[in-house]
Amino acid sequence: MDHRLAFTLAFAAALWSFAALRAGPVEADENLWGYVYGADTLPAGSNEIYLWTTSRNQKGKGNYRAWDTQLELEHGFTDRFQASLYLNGRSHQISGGALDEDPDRKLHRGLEWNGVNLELKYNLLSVYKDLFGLSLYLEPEYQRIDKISGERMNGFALESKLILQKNFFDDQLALAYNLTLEPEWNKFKASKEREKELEFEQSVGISYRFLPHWFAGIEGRYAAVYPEFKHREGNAYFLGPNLHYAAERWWFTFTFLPQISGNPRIAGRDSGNLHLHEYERYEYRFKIAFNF
Amino acid sequence: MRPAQWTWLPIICVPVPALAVPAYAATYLTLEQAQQTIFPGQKLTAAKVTLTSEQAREIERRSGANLRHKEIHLWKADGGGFFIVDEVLGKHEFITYAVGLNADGTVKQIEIMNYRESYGYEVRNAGWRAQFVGKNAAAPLQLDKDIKNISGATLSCRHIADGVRRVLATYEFALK
Repeated sequence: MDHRLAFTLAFAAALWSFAALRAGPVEADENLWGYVYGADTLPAGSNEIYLWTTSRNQKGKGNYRAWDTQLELEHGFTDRFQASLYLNGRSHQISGGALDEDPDRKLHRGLEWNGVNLELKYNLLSVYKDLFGLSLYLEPEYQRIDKISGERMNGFALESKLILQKNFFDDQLALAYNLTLEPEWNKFKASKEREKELEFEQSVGISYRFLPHWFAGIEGRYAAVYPEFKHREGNAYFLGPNLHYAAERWWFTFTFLPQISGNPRIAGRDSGNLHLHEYERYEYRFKIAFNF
Repeated sequence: MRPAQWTWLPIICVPVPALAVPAYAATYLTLEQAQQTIFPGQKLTAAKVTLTSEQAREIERRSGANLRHKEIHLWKADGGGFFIVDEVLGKHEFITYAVGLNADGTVKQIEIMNYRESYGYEVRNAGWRAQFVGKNAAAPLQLDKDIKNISGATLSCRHIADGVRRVLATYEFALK
């Protein structure tokens, strides 16, 4: 048995056992969306453990598939402030000239440790009491594997978000907006090259409770990258559906997010109207969380 | 393990015992228990009340809360007063509660009958519910104004406050 699979099964068994033993009602911070963040924070003293997997697929030529997996442990320190620690993994399948800037690159790598993140989220306005919900978010990150090429590196990033949320119809309908800025500084191990870039995103999500425990919605995302913090190199729009289910102690969210438009188009590949250098043709993300 | 198989990694961590445990759904008071708690020793007679469209509009306008049903589950107490069963949305399911009104339309008592959510159950605390006693249709019943919030249970607090405000408006426009 693969040792990583064995570890995962052992972790799952431990989680199941803890879930069975733990008694009493729990507090929850649900993610209604896969990519968009809501303004809620965990109540004081609550904990949540998440497992995320994101699959990024196709660059218009050859074979490209990448997975980002995250294990997140979240704690509510006060009713307004929560913090999380992430352990990250990344894997790649690249062949057939998939990368326009490195057409000879071939990589078939399973899940490897990609680094750690620390997330800090502070709620300024309550979505349930105030005119709208407002939270601020900061996430310092360390990464060891480049997101696109899979090259080994030492990378540092500082992601910041402004999160707005408004609910309607007795909180059955939720609407959220995120503004994200993320400067990154990377040094590649093989080439010793350094790069820095700024990632800019705006995302919007809508989610509706159509049955008890079930929510469905749409997420839209605009992403752009500015190498050397200067001129924009590429941008893309994504739009896709999501589904969320919440039970007593756990929930899941699934989002399918295809790119619908992007610039510039890369010559020599089947990209249509998409930007497939920085981004992929489509992504999907699955999150599952357990509260304790 | 092939990279593609990592996509399914989170699914195997679904906590099976949590799936096997029934949803957290507690019935704290039956209808009869709620009636006797709020109007001890009194006889309560069921009355069918269906709101007109105009009444429904006025109730929504005055209370600022959505009216889900025009049929009111109402009982009249022998000694005067009304016993009304209402429900409001929790995060995932409905919260069923009872409001006892005095003959003059002020709140006598509120009781949580069914609470089906996994958190926010603190709204059952007697001290929190006592804040509604004596309120009439003119009261704002707003969190952080005349009703204290419970941190970590804000959604439930707000929806129950909205519901009681709607019940008081119902008395003003349909029962008085």
